[in-house]
Amino acid sequence: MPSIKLQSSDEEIFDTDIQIAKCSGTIKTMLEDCGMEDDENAIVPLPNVNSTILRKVLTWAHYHKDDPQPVDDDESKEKRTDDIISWDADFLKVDQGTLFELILAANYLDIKGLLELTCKTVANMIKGKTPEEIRKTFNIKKDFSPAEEEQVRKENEWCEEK
Amino acid sequence: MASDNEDSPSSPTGEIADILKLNDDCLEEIFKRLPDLQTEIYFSQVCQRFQNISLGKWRISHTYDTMDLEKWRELLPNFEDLYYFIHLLQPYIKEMYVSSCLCTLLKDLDEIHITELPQVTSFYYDPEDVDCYPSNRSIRKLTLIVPGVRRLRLTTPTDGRYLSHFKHLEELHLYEDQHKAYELRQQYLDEVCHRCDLKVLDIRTFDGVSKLRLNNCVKSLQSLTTLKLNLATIKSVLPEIMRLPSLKQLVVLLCSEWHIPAEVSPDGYDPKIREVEEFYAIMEQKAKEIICVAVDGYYMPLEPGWDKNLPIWPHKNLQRLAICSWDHSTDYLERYTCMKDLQLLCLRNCTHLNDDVLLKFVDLCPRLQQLDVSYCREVTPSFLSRALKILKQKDPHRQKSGYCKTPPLFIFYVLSGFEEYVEKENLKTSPDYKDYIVFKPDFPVRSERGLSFVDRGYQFEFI
Repeated sequence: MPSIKLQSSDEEIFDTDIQIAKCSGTIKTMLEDCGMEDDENAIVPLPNVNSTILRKVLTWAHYHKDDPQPVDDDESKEKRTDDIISWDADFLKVDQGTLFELILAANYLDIKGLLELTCKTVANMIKGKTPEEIRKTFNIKKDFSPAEEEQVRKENEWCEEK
Repeated sequence: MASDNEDSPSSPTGEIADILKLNDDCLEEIFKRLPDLQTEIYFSQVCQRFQNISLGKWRISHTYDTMDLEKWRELLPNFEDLYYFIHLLQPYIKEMYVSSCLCTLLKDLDEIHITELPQVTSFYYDPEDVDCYPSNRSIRKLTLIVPGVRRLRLTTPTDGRYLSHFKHLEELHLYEDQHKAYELRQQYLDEVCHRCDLKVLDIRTFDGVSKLRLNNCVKSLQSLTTLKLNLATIKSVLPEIMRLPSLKQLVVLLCSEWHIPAEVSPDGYDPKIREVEEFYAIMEQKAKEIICVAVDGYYMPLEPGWDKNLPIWPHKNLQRLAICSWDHSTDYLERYTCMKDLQLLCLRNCTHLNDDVLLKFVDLCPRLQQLDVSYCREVTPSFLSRALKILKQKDPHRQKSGYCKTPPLFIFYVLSGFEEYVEKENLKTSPDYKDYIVFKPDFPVRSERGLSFVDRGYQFEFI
């Protein structure tokens, strides 16, 4: 099986089966456009992905190598969030930092299946929570200026007085 | 790939929250997977950046360009959420469809503290409760809330006071095919025609004899492209209407009854001639420019052979032809196959329509794109295979090349003689018909629904 060398941002080289590497739309285009497919020694630099994340991405891609291509059709897609298989669920038992880095990598590498899975996981973490609970879950500070919040309240008062 | 948003709020511990290191693309991907509007709103309320992402996605989707308060209320039962959502979208709402009473809508908007929706250009009012007439006070208030309205449709009776306060009004649609207790007051019709630069005016009245006249205001209708009115209205002002410089479409509704003038002896009064004399006069005067003729054969008192010597024949300009509910022989239709530019042929509810005459159109009118044979029970399934054969002979490579130089023929077939056959044989998805014939279970756009292309009257379109 032909392979290809992928280089992470911290310069680690990953010898990767070409078919697995090609589940990334970005890598596939690079290989095809630059005619690197037949060159065993060619190195594909991936300056936006570090070795820890790239390793995880390749593990995921290896497990899903025989999956059918996901259909990219926003309109017909049902917004299901409960269809995550248990292997994927275990795979994503990671800290939030890693989860978001995986999303960035899936987006950069254009791996639709992984982007779908990771974003769906985050959507699941948001579902059923109030804004305050979402802030707490992701450690986000409320940044609406008090003036903006006051404005609505004042509008109400003004209207009531009228 | 780090976040491009420098204003990211830091977490309570002082560090930037990991999720905010995502770029906007990724946050949008997450937003896309939120299950419902309620969750989207909670997401939006988390922080400024999430709000911007949400607002951007809502706007790009165009799902909420049209305000449907009833539906939004169902999606967001919590008043505060509805309040937040509407206030956020307020500057971007472009259309309103209102099916509740206007006074209820105004009360609701008041409660949500919406005093103006500046971008709303279309307002369609079609209440489920037909007895819910908007008061003039409500219309006046509406002119303040949606001052930018260009297209207004009101199906309930209104006397029209304050309509002219919509300064940007371009389209006024007041027709509904049902009884109305009263029509516009003449004074207010004149006012709206004088003050607004109308492009579309539909003042048809379904029941009774229309008392509206355009004599005082026709000179102000210089930009008018579409005029829909009752026969009683057009009678006294036809020459002036014929001279309107921008007019492209004229639709005339026969009044449902006739008031016989006292000075006319009932013996010498022929309502049939009264009903068609303008029809022929328009034909005569505009023959060269006419590209569409539609008649409702059930109501128009036309005898067989009525179209033998029409002044439009020498010009051969017809692109759209509709003769509906005709119960005489349809052999005479063949003469229209000389109209080589014909794109739409509507023969809805023609009792004796047969396959052979239809096939001649398929064969001889190369631009035919829409064929409406709804309610024609005499046409048979064999018409379809024969039509397909003709289309394939003319353009055999349509399927192979993947490039269609001609669009497929749309056949509108509800309750026609081959409706069951189309359903049973799944012709809608048949690869054999694909690229040649598309089956449509509704009616052509820009036509009335039901038995006739044009309601109880006639329609012309001009170049």
